[in-house]
Amino acid sequence: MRKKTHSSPLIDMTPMVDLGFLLVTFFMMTTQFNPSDLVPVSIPHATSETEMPESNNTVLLISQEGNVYFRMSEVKNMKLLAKNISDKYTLGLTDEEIAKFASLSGVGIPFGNLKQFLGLSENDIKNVSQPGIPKEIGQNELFNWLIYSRITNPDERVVIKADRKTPYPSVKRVMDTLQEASIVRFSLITDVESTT
Amino acid sequence: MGEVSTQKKEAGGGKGKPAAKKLSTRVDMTPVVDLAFLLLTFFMLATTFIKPQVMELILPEKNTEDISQPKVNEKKVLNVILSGEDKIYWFVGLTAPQVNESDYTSTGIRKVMQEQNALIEKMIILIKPDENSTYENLVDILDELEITGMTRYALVDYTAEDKAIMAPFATPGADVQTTGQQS
Repeated sequence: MRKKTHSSPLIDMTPMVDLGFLLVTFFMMTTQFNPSDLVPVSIPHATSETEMPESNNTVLLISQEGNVYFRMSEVKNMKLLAKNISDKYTLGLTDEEIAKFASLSGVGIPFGNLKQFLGLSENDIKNVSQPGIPKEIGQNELFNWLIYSRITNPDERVVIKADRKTPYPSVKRVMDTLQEASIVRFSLITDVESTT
Repeated sequence: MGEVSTQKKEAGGGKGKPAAKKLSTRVDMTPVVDLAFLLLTFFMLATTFIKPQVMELILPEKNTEDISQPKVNEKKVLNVILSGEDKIYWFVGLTAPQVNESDYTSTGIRKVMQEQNALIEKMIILIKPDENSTYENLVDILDELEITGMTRYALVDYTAEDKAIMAPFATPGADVQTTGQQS
């Protein structure tokens, strides 16, 4: 029953490894990890095919309930921003807290509670549901966030990422705030439409 | 990582082939392949090929002083009211206009805008989302404006004046006759 004794059952795997690593390299090069959003949003469809620039984005995430969360795409800018805010509001954030701030996938906490929030452990931070940045007239902290993001990095582009079902008044409030902050050029994130 | 095949042979007890004198230079690549494909799978799953698309929006500068807005002839104005439940109402002018209902399909507001654009010279579109409309409605209408190539448009507030015009339609349950075309 035995076949030729000399034929080895081993297959030469080298070309397969070549292929494997070629693909790995390709995916490693092209990958960019999409930061997970604080709240899940389903973005609306549109025919626009302008691609979002990769860096220097300030993303304003608006949840279905109209809560606003803030994020800058660059970690180093987030750190600078935390320093600026800490100085301005005398929050006295430690380096550790600033690092924690920079690693957040979105901030939706009033300035007053920021220090307390960052003092929590990593796990607690994930479990706390952030109330969103106050944007009402009278205590419009979103305005200050926008101003400080501009101070931190003048090249920031503001991008609005809102849920389809977000009521228009919430979006309007955000757009009014942008207008007040003299940010009149901004983008809305959309998804490519498959039909039409 | 890579095990030398000869070592394996020793462990296996030398079954089959007679023990080779020469050491084989072949390396068992299987674990390397495992690793490679593990990484491959990871990166494939983690990758987002489709970059998010964006839609540019430029708003006018906020007037700090009380500069009056430029006045336009109301006959040249196409008012588009974005209402709840994905409904659109549109009318031309402000004095006793005929209000029509439309929708976001390609035969809806898109056709209306094209027809009205042909009828009215230098038409201006005013987009007025009311408090029941959603963000999707806004994006949809901006998209329609982009598709139809309308450049003279403005995003304005839904005023009390509009509310008065829309009053007959506001009552829930009132069945509005869909008039897709008006000629």
